Amino acid sequence: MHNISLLNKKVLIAILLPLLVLLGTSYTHAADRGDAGYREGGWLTFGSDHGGVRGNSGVVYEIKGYWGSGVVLSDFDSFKSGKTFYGFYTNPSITDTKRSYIISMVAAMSADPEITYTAQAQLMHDDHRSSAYVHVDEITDIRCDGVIEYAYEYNDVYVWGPSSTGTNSGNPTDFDISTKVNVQYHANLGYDEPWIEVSPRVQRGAATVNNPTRWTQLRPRTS
Amino acid sequence: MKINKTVVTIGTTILLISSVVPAALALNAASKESTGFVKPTISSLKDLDHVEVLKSLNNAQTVNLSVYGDSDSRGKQTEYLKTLNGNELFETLGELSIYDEPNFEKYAESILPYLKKQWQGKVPAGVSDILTHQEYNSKLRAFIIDILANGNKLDNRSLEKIKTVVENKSEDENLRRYALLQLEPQKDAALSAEEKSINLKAIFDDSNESVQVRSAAITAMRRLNDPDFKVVLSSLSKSENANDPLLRTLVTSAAKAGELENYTEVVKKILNETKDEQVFGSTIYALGVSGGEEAVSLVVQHQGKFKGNAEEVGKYSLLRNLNTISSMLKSQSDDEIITALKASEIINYGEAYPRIKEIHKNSKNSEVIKAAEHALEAIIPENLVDEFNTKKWEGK
Repeated sequence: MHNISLLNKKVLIAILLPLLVLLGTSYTHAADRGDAGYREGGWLTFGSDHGGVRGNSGVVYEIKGYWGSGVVLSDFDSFKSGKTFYGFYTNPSITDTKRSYIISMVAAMSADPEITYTAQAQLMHDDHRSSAYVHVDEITDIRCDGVIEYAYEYNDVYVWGPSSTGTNSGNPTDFDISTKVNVQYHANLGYDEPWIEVSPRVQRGAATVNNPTRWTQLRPRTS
Repeated sequence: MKINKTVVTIGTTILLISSVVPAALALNAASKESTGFVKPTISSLKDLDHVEVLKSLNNAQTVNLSVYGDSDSRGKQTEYLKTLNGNELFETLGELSIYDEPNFEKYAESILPYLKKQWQGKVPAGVSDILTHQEYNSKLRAFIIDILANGNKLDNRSLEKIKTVVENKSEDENLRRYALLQLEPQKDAALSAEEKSINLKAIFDDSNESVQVRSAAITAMRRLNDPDFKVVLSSLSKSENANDPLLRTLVTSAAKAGELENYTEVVKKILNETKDEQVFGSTIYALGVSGGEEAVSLVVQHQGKFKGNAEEVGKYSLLRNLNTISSMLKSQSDDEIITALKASEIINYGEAYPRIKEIHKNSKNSEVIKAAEHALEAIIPENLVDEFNTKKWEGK
């Protein structure tokens, strides 16, 4: 009887172990370079979440906060930082070419040691160039969702734009944050009114309003 | 209302949710009428009253794993925040800076919209006084600098406090760096004078200062058009250590100020000798910002010295110089054409494909023909850098 029980245990382990390994290895997130990844913010779960851009070989470009050197490369576990990971998202119209340029943009941000963090707005810039567009070297301060918004929209892949009427009955407009005149429309932080407020949470379509995905062009990666 | 966190257990969590939270909400609703900023005491922050309420709501969460989903606890925590007045919201931020400093910014982002509403778009008098009190958490003080500087709320008093932070060598160097990076030209004459009274060059010159503080001083000097900025830049020529992290800001600032062309030999030395990937990446980035044929040539020449991120920076620097690459493809010099062909290949420059075909057909130089062949094999003609003809990449 004892031997049978031992045998059963061995059989059970033999069946379960590969299953567990299989489950462990298959628990990966569908993602490509250039996708935007989102996780919860802190141990207290309220708030507007945190985001970054997936680079080559699974690294994530992110800006963490007031300390450190601006936009940095983190491995996925460091980005996730033990928090609930909500997944990778992108604009379904994105192409492989755009993904490549988006990665080059965030890499350039990581090379600029003068860029620092702000909670105030997605992006702040100076005007030392006469161009109508914000170039990376003009960015002075940026928020984590600003890294995503700017890298995407400079490359004409839209993420978020305010409502044309300023109310939830309007339509998203003025998407391109790299256009200097549009920067001001991306300076309203929040998630209660995603038609005029933006944050990582609004970008991933998780604002607590009816039909929150109406206010973002990003969709979850499912394959 | 004070809650001792040591007695918060499962039982008390239930108690908190069932009784304390509604009481807190009622109390807070009543206290909404309070006006004027009251600086929270350190002991009131250490009590973590608001954090305890948020934690109790957090523990009651019902997790929803939907990709769009929101857990019930998040909604409850947000509702709690909405009941707080300005002083209470600021106190909550102060508590969170103690309770969970690494994630402070995420809480700040979440609370800031409500704080702005309570403060009616202003920063109350007295908030900036906290800046110089080192017993308050440095990140909380960085947040105050952020809302003052980036919210265009600076006045003489607050700028004076920021100046004190910058100049105080016993201050947290992270905070000093952040304060330096928030200095920008002021239209108001008095504010401008206050800013210019900071001896930034002395900070840079002090080798006992940390690299991050000295680097931020360089950036501030450039942004404020400090008369000593070019003197500081000239230290590039004296740099003997190609791995010195200070070089990152020196080359970047030089490029943004249009001065990098004066340091081409130094740039070449850095690119050839540095073993530091970040120094290398910032130098390649600076070349892209600076622009021009020599910059394109140096980027192409050093592309691949470091793999991964540095190669992406190289691509960006070439993309920033599309006009230059286009005109180099029409050059009379075969060397320039070869460089431009290699640059086109690196960035997959679809728009240049017809011109490269012409070069391949008409050139008599075997090296040019070989480089053109290579580029034609790698470039996808349909891969347009400027798909919508916005000319963003061409702007300078």
